[in-house]
Amino acid sequence: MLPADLVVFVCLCYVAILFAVAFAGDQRARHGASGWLSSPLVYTLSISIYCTSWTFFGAVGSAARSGFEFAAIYLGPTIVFAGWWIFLRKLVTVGRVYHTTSIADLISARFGKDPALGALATVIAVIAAAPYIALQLKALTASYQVITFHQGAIAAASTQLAPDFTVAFWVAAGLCIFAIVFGVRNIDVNERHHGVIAAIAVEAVVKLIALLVIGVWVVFAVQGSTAAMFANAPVSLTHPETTFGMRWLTLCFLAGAAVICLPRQFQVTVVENSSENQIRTASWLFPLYLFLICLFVIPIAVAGLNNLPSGSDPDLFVLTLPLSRDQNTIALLAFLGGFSSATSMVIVSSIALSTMISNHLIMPIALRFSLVPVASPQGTRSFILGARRASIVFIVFLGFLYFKLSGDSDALAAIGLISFCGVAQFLPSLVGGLYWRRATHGGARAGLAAGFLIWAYTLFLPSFGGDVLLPASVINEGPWGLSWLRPQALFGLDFDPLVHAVFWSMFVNIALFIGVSILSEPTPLARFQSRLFIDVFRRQAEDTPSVMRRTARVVDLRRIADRILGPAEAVDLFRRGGMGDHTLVASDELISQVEQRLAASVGASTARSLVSSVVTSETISVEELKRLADETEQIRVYSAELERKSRQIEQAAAELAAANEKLRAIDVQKDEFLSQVSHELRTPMASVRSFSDILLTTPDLEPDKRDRFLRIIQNESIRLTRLLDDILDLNQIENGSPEWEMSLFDPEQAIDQAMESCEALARAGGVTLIRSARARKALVYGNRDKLAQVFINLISNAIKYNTSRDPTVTIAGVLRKGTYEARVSDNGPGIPESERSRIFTKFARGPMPRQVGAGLGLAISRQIVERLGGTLSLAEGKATGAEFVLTLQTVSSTRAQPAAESA
Amino acid sequence: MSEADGEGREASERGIRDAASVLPFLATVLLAPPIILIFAAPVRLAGIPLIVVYIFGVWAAVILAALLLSRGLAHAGATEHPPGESGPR
Repeated sequence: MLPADLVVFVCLCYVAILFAVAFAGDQRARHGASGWLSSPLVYTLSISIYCTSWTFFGAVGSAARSGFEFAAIYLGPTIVFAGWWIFLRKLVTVGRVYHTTSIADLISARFGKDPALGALATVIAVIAAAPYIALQLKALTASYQVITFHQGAIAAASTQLAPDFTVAFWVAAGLCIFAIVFGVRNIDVNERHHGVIAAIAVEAVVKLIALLVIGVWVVFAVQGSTAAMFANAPVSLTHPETTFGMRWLTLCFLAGAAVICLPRQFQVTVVENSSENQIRTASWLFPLYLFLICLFVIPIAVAGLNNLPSGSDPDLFVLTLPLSRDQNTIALLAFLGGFSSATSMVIVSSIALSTMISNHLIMPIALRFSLVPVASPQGTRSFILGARRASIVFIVFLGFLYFKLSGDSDALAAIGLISFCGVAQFLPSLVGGLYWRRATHGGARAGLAAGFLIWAYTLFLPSFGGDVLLPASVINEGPWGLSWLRPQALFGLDFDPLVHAVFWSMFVNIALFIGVSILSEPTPLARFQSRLFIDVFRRQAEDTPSVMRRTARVVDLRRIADRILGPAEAVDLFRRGGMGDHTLVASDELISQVEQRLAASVGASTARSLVSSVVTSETISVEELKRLADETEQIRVYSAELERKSRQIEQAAAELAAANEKLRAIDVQKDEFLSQVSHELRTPMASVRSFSDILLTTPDLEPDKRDRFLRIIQNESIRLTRLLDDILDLNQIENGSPEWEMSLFDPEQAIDQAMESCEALARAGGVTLIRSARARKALVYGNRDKLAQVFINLISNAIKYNTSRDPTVTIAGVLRKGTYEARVSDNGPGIPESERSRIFTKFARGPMPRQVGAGLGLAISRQIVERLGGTLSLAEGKATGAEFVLTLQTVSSTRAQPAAESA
Repeated sequence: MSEADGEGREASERGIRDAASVLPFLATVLLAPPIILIFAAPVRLAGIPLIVVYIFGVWAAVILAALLLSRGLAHAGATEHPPGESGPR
């Protein structure tokens, strides 16, 4: 036992040190040199107000009662911070860039600065915080009572001490004073409180050191060795299989949500943040802090269970263990640690909540009913400060009230979890607001309200126990005896009350948030805000102000700024805004600046209603807004366009490559053609030359020999001429010149003409020409001689290449649906598959040795037929021999010429 | 600095960002059933229950990973900045 005077004295000294630190911090910040105040270390230590007395005392209690469950409360935040890159970074950046003052402010600002949403969030936060503050008061009172208990610690531990509400009252009063003195001295931009943060950081160090000292003392002095530590561990620690079920997951989730959504956590993590560097360091340093806090929880719990009489309150093991061994210094340190963790939590919570209450509840109501004194600028400012101070007292004493009402039956952890579940209701709106454009204020309102009501019904109201706020009969049997409405087993789902409450509240919250958002349209302002918040990492174009066009008289705007910000700052703001004294109408930019500056002090929705009261006209350019909001859509379209273009380019490149390939092939063909022509010319030329040489050098040649040589020379010359004629022909046809004499004629006549010409050749080769069918009354438009030339070529080819023993060539003409079709077939060897594709090219010749000619015949024939508007091809799939098919468009004799022209 | 260096650095920066995004999910999987149930067996390592070693081991590993990633992100994230600290409200 420690004398009460000593304990009180130590506490007062400690508080005095905190005052000094807070004062020094404020002084430093006021002189503009934040230095270590905004270092990542101080930032991280301030976040560790997450570890309240619930952690300091309750973690051990929880470990002693139910094993590893306590770890979930710290693993959830560890995961959230280690994963800062995904969510926390965006949240913190939004808060920093848009000067958010609280979680209610962020939610209301995101959904179009909706005042109702801000008020709703504030009410939820205040009610959810009450159990948590009560928890701190309870821990402080209990620890004070135990450490000063007359019969000594062992007796204190095993006695159910009735809470001493006098102690609780004075503690609450003291906390109010501290919070008011350092938390509500001025209405600052960003609501940053350097002094308080400095004090909180000191407290964070004290509680960590205290717990570590006790832990080391327990392990080495009480237990002796690590192995001995777990020798007599309770079943929940040695056989932990049942711990890791739904409740484990629920606790991890709740803790992860709470470390973001608790108003005080939001305050230190988001509002007090001044650079990304801070959160980056906190991403590992804060988990490390939690790790160290938890390191000795199990050893202390086991030692408490083994060394203290059974029935001792495990929530106070941290204190009663050193006391039972007369380690008064360690006990005092433990008490100070608990004192630190409880006071820092209450102070920051009450500051954060008072800002919310004044910005989202008091100010909107005061403005609506003109309760704000407007006579002097000073009046408004002191009204706001007064409202905040009153709020702090209200919040702390709300916690005190909860403490009195809920009695002393609950374990610390159970009370804390009620708060966690309450503030977790913010999560859907917060996450949805930062990532989902379609989320509307209607969805946020519906989700928040429903989630809050279910939480209140299933968890908060039953937490008071029987007959306080909810009759015991309702808790046990449901209202009006409807058992499916039992608060802790809705629709008969009867599992762990916490899991039950979390499931139903989050399920309905998320479902309504999404459902109502889908069914409703965001207001233009909400659309604008969603763009700012969701795209916070994208560079915002300077055109942002052009979305909102407002006009206001400078005088009116100035009056508001004077009232809220104070004259000095207002002058500064207007000077920076480039406003001369003679300007009457404020620019959009200045109005936005003033609103932004006000919002940093009184919250977005209040600032908006203040500015709106003097704005004479306001239009939000919906078109402009849509354009901006759809920027992402535009980027998507743009990239699709790019993709399409690159596909087009690829296609063009492929076409070019194909064309190039074709050109190369043609080039090769041309070269081949040239060498063929030279070759063809060279052979007759050579014989002409050699024979004329012989004739010249040997004058005394026999006459018959000379005649033979001369005939050879003549034949070769004729062959040469014919070859050159062919080439000229081909060239002429290819170049489309000159004009042929065109007339209407019967194509059968051309066949007759060709057969006549070939008769001699056929007879010489012993080939039988057969005329199998004739088309009657066929009439085509073209040049008969040219067509005859084609048939001559086809028939002579058929004769020349026919090596059959009984060679025949069959020619048939038919009329088929206005098309004249002639077929020239033979019973020769046919054309091999490999040759089929190239027989119509120049100098292509059949593979037979008997063949003569330049190989231009088919090429010329096809050119002629094509020029006549027909086709010439090789028939497919003939068993023996080759068959050429020639088709030509016919002209009905009644409408002769005009139709033929177009053919 | 050659272009290849720049590309390599960019790729490794992206790798760090991806790893930073994966870390919380990995930690969740390791600390949630069914994985955690594997280590919930009543086995002791040097007198300490296996589950204690496992939970605190994973915890320490996550902290270490977060530390290394935050070092990496300090360089990688430097290129990506939000707009001026005084955006419109």
